[in-house]
Amino acid sequence: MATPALNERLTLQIPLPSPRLAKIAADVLDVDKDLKPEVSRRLISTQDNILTLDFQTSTLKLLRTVVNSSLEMVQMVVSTMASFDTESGEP
Amino acid sequence: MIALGLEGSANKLGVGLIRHDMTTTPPTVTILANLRHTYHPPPGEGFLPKDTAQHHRSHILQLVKDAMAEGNITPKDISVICFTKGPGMGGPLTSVATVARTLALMWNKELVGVNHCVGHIEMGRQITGAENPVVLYVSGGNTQVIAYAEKRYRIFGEALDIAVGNCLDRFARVLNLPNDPAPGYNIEQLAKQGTKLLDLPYTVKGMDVSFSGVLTYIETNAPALLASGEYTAADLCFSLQETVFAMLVETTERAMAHIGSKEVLIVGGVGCNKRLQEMMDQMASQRDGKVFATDERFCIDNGIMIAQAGILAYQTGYTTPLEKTWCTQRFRTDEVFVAWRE
Repeated sequence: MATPALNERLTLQIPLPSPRLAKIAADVLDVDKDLKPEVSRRLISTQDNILTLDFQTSTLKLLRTVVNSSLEMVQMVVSTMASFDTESGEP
Repeated sequence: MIALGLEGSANKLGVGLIRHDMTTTPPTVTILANLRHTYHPPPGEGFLPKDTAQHHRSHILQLVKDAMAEGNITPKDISVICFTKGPGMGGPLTSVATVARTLALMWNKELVGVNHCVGHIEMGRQITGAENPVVLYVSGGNTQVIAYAEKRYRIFGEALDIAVGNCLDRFARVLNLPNDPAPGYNIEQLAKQGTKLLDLPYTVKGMDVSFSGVLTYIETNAPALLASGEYTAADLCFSLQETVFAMLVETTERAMAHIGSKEVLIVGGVGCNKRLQEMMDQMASQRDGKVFATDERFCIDNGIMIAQAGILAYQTGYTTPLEKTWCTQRFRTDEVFVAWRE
């Protein structure tokens, strides 16, 4: 069976408070690799304080699923940072 | 040395803080905090991965804050961050690991990914002081008979299909028992009122056990048996416990005989069950042996066991590099190199 074309695309650009935190978010999220890279891929990159998530999937349903679960993890990272970041001086 | 431990492989979310005072030999171990929040689905239902992961995400930050407050700990006091790598449910595991990674990168701390089963074993050893026991690890997700040999926790026998706790939990759904505090706990209480023993399939296969058959049997026949008035729900709970626990006692005894051990350590959520402890004790006494068990703080999934197993590994120089901090649903107990034991 030929590899399906990954025609469904979505790009999310998420501003973080600083380049440091954007890099941390990218590093944390990138640990979890794509479960089925032949049908769904996620590319993570940063530019200054912007965290960019590029999604490419074969179907719209897969796109929705991977974007939703990624956003759940992004929310977890961001709220952890809001509660516990020490560099801003908060213990 | 202080370790933060994060656990979320099933429906229990646990955060623990443990201190190892390295100035004494052996190190003095102090539990600074051991907090848990459990996701309870409605009666008749089991917990699903998506809802469980969401529960963990909703509660983990407050639990970490509370644990640090209780232990009077700030980030700079923490030496290492430990989290459950597996085995367990994917979404819940990853939700918790994500927090561990984020904290580690923000605070510049090392990470240690811990095997959930090894966590149970190490906490059981620490709390009870058992020297070299046969370990019966019994929970909703796992059923293994384990013994330590040459740097590995070797699996002598295990459930071939579903864990004993899963069997009990799923029968609780048939009876519509509450899931709060745990379905197994409610079966245990109801079983105390049972008097009539129903003959159930008994499936020990050498060193291993099987529970899906006895579950199918009791799920299928319970409605008719209850309707006929021949057996009460209490009788069925009693019968199921007596049968599955006897199977566990048999395979544990087989392992004890095999390696010549006189100690049994019961860990895992089902290990809280007093009837199981009693039956195990009867067998062990006949062999001039002893049973070790912990209370619900430690036998039910918790964060402190992850901190304990993690800090022991950390003390041998072990850490998990960030790129390897992914989680896995399958993680065999004997995959871990137990460097911290002789």
